[in-house]
Amino acid sequence: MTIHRIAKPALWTLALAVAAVLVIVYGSFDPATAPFPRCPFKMLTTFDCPGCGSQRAIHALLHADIAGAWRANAMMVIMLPIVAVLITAGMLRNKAPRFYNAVNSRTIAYSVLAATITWWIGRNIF
Amino acid sequence: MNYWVIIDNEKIGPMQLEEVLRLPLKRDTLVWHTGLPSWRQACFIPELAGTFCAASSGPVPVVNPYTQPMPSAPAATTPQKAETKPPTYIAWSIVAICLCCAIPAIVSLIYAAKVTPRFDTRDYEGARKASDNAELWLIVSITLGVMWLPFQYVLFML
Repeated sequence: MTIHRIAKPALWTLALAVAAVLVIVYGSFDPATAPFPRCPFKMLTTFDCPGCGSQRAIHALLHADIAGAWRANAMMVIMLPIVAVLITAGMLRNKAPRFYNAVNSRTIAYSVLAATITWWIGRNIF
Repeated sequence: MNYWVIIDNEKIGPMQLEEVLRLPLKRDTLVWHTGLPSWRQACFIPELAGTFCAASSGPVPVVNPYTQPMPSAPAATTPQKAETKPPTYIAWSIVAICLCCAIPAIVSLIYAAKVTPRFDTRDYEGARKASDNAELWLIVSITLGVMWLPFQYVLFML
């Protein structure tokens, strides 16, 4: 699609700028007490969505509190390195096509999907 | 002259000849360069065949040109269209599940997980559609997430 070729550098710049602002905001304020946005799924159903607790987890990670992040949203802590590897592989696709194919295998794709759905159901039962 | 090479179903290029020579090419690796009508096996590209085909196949058997036909003419190789795997969006789906609206992001992840299996079974059209759907639901998730920000504060005030 043409949008990828034209908008890619602009999107990356915007994403980095937004990320920098978010790091400052989430580092300074604790989402457990500050009026941060709430999850619409949780407000409507009272159940946790797979992403619930991500804001508290980010705050904890920015204060090097991995245990706190784990309690807030364990999936995010596990997925963070996986996402980092996948995005790096995507950016180096032309230089390292074998690495890209290895991390974009069907096994990893299905595992990530199964883990997310298991986590979603599991966190609402236990 | 620009060269393209297909390794592991992955189209690599454009490259210069020196870069192509550094790749782990096999005799039947498909290569295309500007001016060629179709993809060809590396052995039928003269500038490549001279370096690695002779080296990898050991001593070249001497063939009497008058008793044997040409082993196989370049035209005999089947022209093969190079297919590039569309983006899977797995990483961005996970990011959207954690940070945006989770439900459409999970739909995006389901489509994202289908891209590679479909591509591996040569269902290129299906893989492309799955990739496009993953992208669409990713955009839905991000849009809903961003729209929710001001909306939820209004809800709190009621």
